[in-house]
Amino acid sequence: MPRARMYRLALFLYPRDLRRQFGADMLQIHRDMRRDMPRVHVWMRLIHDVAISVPRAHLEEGIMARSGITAVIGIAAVIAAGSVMTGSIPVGAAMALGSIGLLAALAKGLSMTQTRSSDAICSRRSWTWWAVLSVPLAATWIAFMTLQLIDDPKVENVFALGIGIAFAAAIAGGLALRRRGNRMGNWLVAIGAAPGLMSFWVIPLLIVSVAVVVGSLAELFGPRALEGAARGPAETAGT
Amino acid sequence: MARKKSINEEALPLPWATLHILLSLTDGPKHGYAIMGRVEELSDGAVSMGPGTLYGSIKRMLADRLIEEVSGPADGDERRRYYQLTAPGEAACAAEVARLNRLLRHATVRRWASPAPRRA
Repeated sequence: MPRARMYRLALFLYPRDLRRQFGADMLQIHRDMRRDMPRVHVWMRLIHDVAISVPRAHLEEGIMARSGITAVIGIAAVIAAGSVMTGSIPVGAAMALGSIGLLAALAKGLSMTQTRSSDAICSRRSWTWWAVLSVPLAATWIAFMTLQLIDDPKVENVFALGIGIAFAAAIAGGLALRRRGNRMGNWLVAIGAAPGLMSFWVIPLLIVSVAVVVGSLAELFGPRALEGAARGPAETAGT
Repeated sequence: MARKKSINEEALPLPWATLHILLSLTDGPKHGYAIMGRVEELSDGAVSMGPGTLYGSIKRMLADRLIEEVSGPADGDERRRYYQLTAPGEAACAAEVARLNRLLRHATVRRWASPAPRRA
């Protein structure tokens, strides 16, 4: 049964321990859902669930956070894979950065939804000029890579589009975290904007990227960096 | 005799999924799909879990001894595993609900007791 097989394959995204312990139960729930719900609803819920629960499961299993060696091997593997597929080490490195940004955004976002994040700052940061600039920058990554794929439809450009989406997601996730007062958000926006720093041949893009990276890091380390932490929740609630 | 500490006040606030699962089990043991349905019902459809979220939480809760696996009813499905609340699970649920009540009370008092800011 193809749909059951698809979900069975999706289960391989989960840590082995969870899969072994509860894989059969998860498949049973999938069967129950297919019996009781419209197909579209089932898949929408499952896709959402996989996207949320897989990073969290790995985070909890400690694969993503426990070992520096694991992280280094992971980054090296992504760079190597990207380099082989695209024939370019910089693109491979970009892919690694984008993937890390995306994963970090997901993991951090999830930890925030659990309301247990220890580094959540009480204040919510408002939109500033560089945050506004980062939005078209994120759109540019996706638009640029999409146009490139349309112009020259080949496998490398599909991966390039994936990289563009990953960087755009890092910016979007970063802005969302920053709105919640989480410092990690600034880092993610800076990572998401970083590819623009290499675009010497498109000066406006370079300028915008520099502005976003500098703006986001300046907010972290500048004189107003502690402003948010100094304000209490009661004060910010009314703003 | 040393008591195994599973969860205490320091562990609060509970993750939303954990709280919903605990609440769904307050009226008796259930299997995974029944828990999902009950959570949706309790939250008026606002919270809908998928299998990954559910079993990720169940795994954590089993480790924390908030819930335990039990044999299902005689007329139940043998393929399914049933879970029920443990005493620490009930205590954690009660503590979290009390915490939320306190929070709600503070929020209500603050909102209704403080004078509204005057606008020019």
